[in-house]
Parts: sequence; structure tokens; C-alpha cells
Amino acid sequence: MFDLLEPLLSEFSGVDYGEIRFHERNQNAIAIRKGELETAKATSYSGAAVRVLSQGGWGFSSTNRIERNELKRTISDAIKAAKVSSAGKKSKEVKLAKANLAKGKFEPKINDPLTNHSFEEKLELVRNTEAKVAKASPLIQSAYVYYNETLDKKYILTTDGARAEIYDSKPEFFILAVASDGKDYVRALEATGTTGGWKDLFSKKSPETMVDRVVERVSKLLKAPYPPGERATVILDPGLVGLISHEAIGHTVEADFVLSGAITKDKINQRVGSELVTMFDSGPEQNAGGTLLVDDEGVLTEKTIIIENGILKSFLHNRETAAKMNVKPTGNARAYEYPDEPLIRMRNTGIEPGKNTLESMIAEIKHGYLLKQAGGGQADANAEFMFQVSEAYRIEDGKVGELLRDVTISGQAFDVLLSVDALSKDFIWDMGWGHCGKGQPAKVDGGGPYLRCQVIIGGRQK
Amino acid sequence: MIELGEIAVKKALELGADEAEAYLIRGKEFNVSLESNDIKLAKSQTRDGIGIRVFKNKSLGFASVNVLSEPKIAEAVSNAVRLAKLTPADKYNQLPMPTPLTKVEGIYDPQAEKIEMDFALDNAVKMLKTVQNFDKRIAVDSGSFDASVYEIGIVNSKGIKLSERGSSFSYVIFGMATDKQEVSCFQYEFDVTHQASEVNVEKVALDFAQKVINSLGAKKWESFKGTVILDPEVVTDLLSVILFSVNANNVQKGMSRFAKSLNQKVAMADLSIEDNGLLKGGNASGSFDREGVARKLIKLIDKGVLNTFLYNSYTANKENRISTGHATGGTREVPYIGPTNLTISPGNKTKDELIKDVRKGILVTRLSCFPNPVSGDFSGVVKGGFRIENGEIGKPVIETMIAGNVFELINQISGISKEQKRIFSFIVPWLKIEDISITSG
Repeated sequence: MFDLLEPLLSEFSGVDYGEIRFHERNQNAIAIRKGELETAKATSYSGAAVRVLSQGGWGFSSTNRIERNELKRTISDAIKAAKVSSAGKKSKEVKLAKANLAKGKFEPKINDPLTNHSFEEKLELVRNTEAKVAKASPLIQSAYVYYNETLDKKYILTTDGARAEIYDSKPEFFILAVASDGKDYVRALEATGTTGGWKDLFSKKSPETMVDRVVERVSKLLKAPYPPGERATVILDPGLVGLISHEAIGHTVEADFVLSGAITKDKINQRVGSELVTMFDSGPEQNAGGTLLVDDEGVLTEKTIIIENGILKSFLHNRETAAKMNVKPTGNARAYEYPDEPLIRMRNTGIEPGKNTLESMIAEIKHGYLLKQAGGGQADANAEFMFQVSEAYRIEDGKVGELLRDVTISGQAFDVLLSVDALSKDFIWDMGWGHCGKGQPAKVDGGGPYLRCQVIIGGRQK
Repeated sequence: MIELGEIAVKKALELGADEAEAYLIRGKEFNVSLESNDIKLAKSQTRDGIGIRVFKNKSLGFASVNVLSEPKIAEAVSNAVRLAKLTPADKYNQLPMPTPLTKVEGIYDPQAEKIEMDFALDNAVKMLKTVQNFDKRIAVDSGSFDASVYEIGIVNSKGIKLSERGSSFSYVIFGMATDKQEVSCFQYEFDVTHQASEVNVEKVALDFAQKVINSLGAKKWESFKGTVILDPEVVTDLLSVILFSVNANNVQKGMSRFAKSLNQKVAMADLSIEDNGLLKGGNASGSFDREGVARKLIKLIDKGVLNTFLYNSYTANKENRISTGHATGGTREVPYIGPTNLTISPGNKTKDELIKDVRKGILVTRLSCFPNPVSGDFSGVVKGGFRIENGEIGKPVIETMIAGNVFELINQISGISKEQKRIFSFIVPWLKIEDISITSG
């Protein structure tokens, strides 16, 4: 592929910067619901994208036909687009920061490649898992089990020297159960996702554990009361700590948001959280769902410390925003598929563990909640975040009580970080089955220890 | 393009499939995006795809590829047939037969074929400048203007062979306002149309700008149980629960609370919802669905009574009836079920009259929320919400959440506005709801 792509770099003469990214994505998925197969598919999606910077204007074009003349035409279209874009632009001062550009072959650590396992084996796992959930309780009306694997191959070349060949493998496994007592309907979800192979996928929880948890929770939810609406002390599990890091803080430190005027813009080197909080966003993590070794501008990724002991240290950058703020790029430019342009996106975002135990953190709460199981979430410019909690328990006088219905949690991100008063010793990436949406999807992960803080619970008023 | 579909179907039958279907799309787009108060990037590209579904001894296999060359298509076909030989049989796996179609109007504008990048740039610049001239405190975080033309085609071994052209102009603007130390919440505004002559970026830009400025100065309020007036956008978010519950697949598979509610009253008599895939110029309009079945008008909820579920061929086969033409999905997925253009019938009071009758409540213009489609429970953060006291709209609120249950909510409606707003393919009025939990942090 380099033989075809490399000579094309000469087509970029007369522009400031050019980038060619070939991306081939193969996805295989199986879904069974209530004993019936809903999906068995093999999809292939591939093509090359070209991005050009000329006189401050960015142009982009892509093609699904990988041959010399078509690629040349695509480059010429991208150059034309850059000129249009430059013509409409106010600020023609766009520079790209010097970066640690990737050269060579990159592949995450893979235990037991997914291709070692046949379609039949994967189908059998999905079938058996669905059958186990369906049979577990007469209250269960329906079970849905889904397996998906995404296998990527990329080649990234830039006019200033990136030359990378990149492989990736990201499997996911979901179990959803719906229970009903004839009148009320409730659901519970267990999911896992990672970067790696078959052994990596089930290294944190086995399908059996996931079945047991989903069955137990969905049955209890039918009798669960609604939580009251109030501001309260809560303990978040590692997945929710990941979600709060991602939604509440992560989005507000993406440099494109910062440059638009997000609330963090003047906060570098200022206190934004309790001194217990050290938060990071990292590309080269092992066994996490958002692992990224090289970003889509060809920059080698790193572990970026966003907050150190409560002090805001860094934003998340691409090469353009890094140059604007006179810092090093952090390797956060990501494109979802070949026809998408790179945007500033998170990778694996989390909080470093502390010194407490979960037991002592619970014992110290007089009235509060233990919150588990991350769902969806959203961020805002004023740092007011929200996210879903699927598993909530009351804590009264230091003891975990009954399960409550699922609920949405909110708060002002920096108020919440300042309220953090305990972190457990654990660390788990537990959001790897999720996607982040910002115009394009991206595979991300989030994690951390158990964390105690104050949030608003969007429950019921009497 | 349709010939490639025929080649795919023929190839699948040669490889041993009993039935085969090819769904194709070919499109061209120009896009100019905005970021941090300036033009970000201009993009021109084509996009193709084919999705092949086969049944072999009643077993399903599906494959897709985005390169429309004969060798690539042949490879995808053989993948689909290979999978169908490995999956369990299901007697309801059967492709639909051709049905008489009504040609939908207003989804293709031939002018769109002649459009160049400059058209997208001019509109993106106009949108940005309109906002910047409105008020200097507004920051445009991002936005885009997109112009595209496309052709879709569907061929199956039962004799369906259809194609249709469409055009689309979509534009969105997203940002916030900054006033001294204060940063407002995000707001956005968007529109989509099939016709170049209907593009109106100024209106979207001005609506956005007004929304952003209105959301400055937000303060916490108090917790209570009271009245809410929901903006059409919020109603659309909550409607997802109803749409999940009328999906025949969810009904048949035990996930819908409406499973036993057919022909029964599920909502107040004031509530009527229809789905019309043939709406002239509708954003989700098409003459046929993802399986090539005719689109039509359906009364989903008529005066509070649940009239029908939404079917594709598979779920219709199970009940030995015909599909309602609600198969949906792209070239990369097995067809599933989805709504088209959805309309909630208007009421008899104006939006202002609804607000005038509220003693104490909140006007919710955006809700950050993921309703639980199974239980109907929702709790979300009010964004761009305003106090209502004694019929007057007051200050914007912050750190405020509302919670309830959508199945209960459709029985707590105390007012529906005369005015309707188009939100993508949904046409929705303002709703007034009683007894909603409001929690202030």
C-alpha cells in the first residue's frame, strides 16, 4: 500500500500540508433476541481520505476506489476544497505544531486474536447466553445478546513525515434483559468491550458473570422504588467515574471547545478539583476500549495528565490547536471511518486510584447512594453534565440498602470534583462497550477507582 | 446502479441462496463545517454501498461492502451466503413480493445536481455572520452546511426492482454565549429540506442566536411537583419511548409495554399520532421502504386509542399480515423497523394561552435525557428552561432536573398547542403536562 500511496505525496506541491489516510474496516456481528437470530453479518467499509491545508483553509475529500488516478483526483478535489475554505475564512493563520510523528507498524497487544475463533463459535456463545438469560426467571420476558467485532487496518502518510501502518481489534459483548410482572416493564444491561483479542474481551467479566448480574438486577428492579430527587453524597463505581471524567470534564478540555469559549479556557494551573483528583486521558492503554496508538494525524499518542492533584494541567489537542496554544499535540485527533475528518476526541479517560477501601467509604456515609453501571451521558459548555445510572442503592447509616429504579445524575463538573473526599485503591476500565458521539462516533473507555462526591439525583418529588 | 443489484441477486441464487435482496445507495455531497467562530473545513465526496441479505433454507446471512465493483460485490454475496449456511432457520424469513406504489413528491430537486462547493460555503458563511451580527456574546462552537444528492435502489428475487432519487440540504449551528464570567449552556438549531429553494440559513441562525442569549443569566430555583410546558424538541425526545413500544419486533419479543394494548386507550383522547411515509417533501419520505414495500399513511394513535404497530416483512410474516412499510436501515445493517414522518395532531389553544394558565411550573426548551424505552421512566437535566409563575415566563433555570414516566405523561396532558414545529421528520406541538417532579440542585 505504501508503494501506491507514497509517490502521491508529490501531488501536494503548492499547499502547506497534505495527509492521506487509508482505512479498511471489517465488522462482524451477531444478535439474538428471544431465541431468534436478528443479525448475522459481515461488513466491509474501506477507502482513502485526503486532507489538505492551504492558506489557512482545510479541504477534505475521500474515495472508495483505491487506484492511482482516482487517488490523484481525490487529492486535487481536496486541494480545491481547501481553496474554497480559505476564501471563506477570517483567520488565515493556521500552523501545525511539531509532533512526535509515527513511523512503522503499530498494533495493540492482542491475546488470542478474534480470527482464531470461528463464526460458529461466536454464534454458539451468543445463542447459549441468550438461552441462559431467558430461562433464568419466569419474570424475564425477553433477552437480547449481541456480539460485535471491529477490525481496522490503516495507513497514514503526511507530507511532513508520518508513515504509519496501524492495526486494531475491538470486540464488544452486550446482554439486555427485560422483565415484567404483567403491568410494569424494566430492563437491565450488562456489557463489556475492549481493545484486543478473545481472551481480553472476557478478562474483566465472563459471560456467566454477566448473565448472573443481569438476571439478578432485572428481577429486583420490578420491585424497586423510585429514588427521591435531591442533592446527595454518592459513591460512583469505576465505570461511572469513567463517565464523569469523560462527560463532566473531558469534553470541556477538548481544545476546540476551549477555543470556542468553554468554561475551562482560563483555568490552566488553577484548582478545579479536590487534591485527591488526578485525571488523565490516555491512548496507549492495555485492555481498554478506547485504545489508540497513533491518532489520525499520524501523531503517536500518550498519556495526557489533564488534572494533577486538583490543578488543571492540560487540554486535549490536535496539531492545529496545540500550535495555537503553543503546546505539544496530545494525539487526540480521531476520525471514525475513512470519509470522516479527524476531530479532537478522547481515548481512555479516568481518575487515578486513592488509598481508601470501598467498605470504609460506604461505612462513613449517613445518608447517600451507591451508584453503579454507567449508561449514556452528555456534557455542556457551562460544565453542567448529566449521565445515566442503571444500578442505584440507598446507603443509610453506613449500610448499603435496597436497589432503586434507574436514574439520571447531574451537577456542575467542577463543584463535583471539588466535593471528592475519598477514592478507593482499585482501578478498572469499565466503559469500553460505549461510544462517544460528537458529530461522529468514537470508541472510548473510561475508568477509575470507586469515588465519593456530591451530585444531584433527578428523582421524584412527593 | 440497479443492474449491480440484479447481478448481486443472481450471484446469490447461483451460490445456493433461496432468496436474495440487494439494497444500494450512491451519493455525492458537499459540506462546509464551522468551528470556533470560523470556517473549519470544506469537504467533497461520493459515498456508495450495497447490503446483501440472503435466506438459505430459511436461514439469514447478511454482508455489505462500500465499493460497487463486481468483484467486491461478488465477495460480499459469497460472505452473505456463507453466513446463511451457518445460522439457525426461522420460518418467518421470507422476502416481500412487489406491491403497488404511490410515488412520493418533493424529495428530489434536480437543481441539487448542479450545486458546487461555493453554495455550501456561502450558506455556512451566511449562517455564521448572521449569528455574529446578532450579538457579540455568542460563540459558534461548531456547525455545518451539507448539500447532497443520492439514489437508492432495491432488488430482490421475488421481483422487486425499484430505485428513487433524493436531494438533501441540512444545516446545523451549535454554540453558547459568554458574558463576563458566565458561560451559558449549549444551544443548537438545525433544519433539513429536500429543496434548494427552501434553504433558509438566516432563520436557523436567528432562532439559535435568540435561544443562546435567552439562556444567559440562569439561576437555580426550587424543588416541587408542578406543571411543565414541553417544547416540540423535548416532546420528540420523549416520543422515542412510544416509538419503541409500537415497534412490532419489540412487541413480539416481549419488550413493549403496549404488547396487549392494541385497540385500547393508551393516552388521553386529545392525543392523535400519525405516521406518513408519503408526506410531500417530508424528510423521511420515500415511495418504498428499505425492503421495497410501499410506504403509506398510518394512524398510530387515534384519539388516545392504539390503532396499529409498525411492521416490516419479518414481523408481518409472523402475524400473517402485510408489512406496513416501516422497514428501515442503511446498506450496512439487516433491515429493522422505524417510523417515517410522524405528526402529533395540534390542539386548540395557542402556546401563549397554555403558558398563561400555569400557576407555577417550567417551560422546557431542551432536555438532556435518555428515556428508558422499556419502563418509560425518564429523568433529565433542563437546558434552556424558564420559570413560569402566574402565567408569566421568568428567569432561565440551571441545575434543574425533571422526572416522570412517558406512559403516565401521555395521560397527564392538560394542553396541546395549535402551533407545530418540524423537528427533522417529526411535526410536533407544544405539550402542557401536570404533576411532574422538578428537582433543583
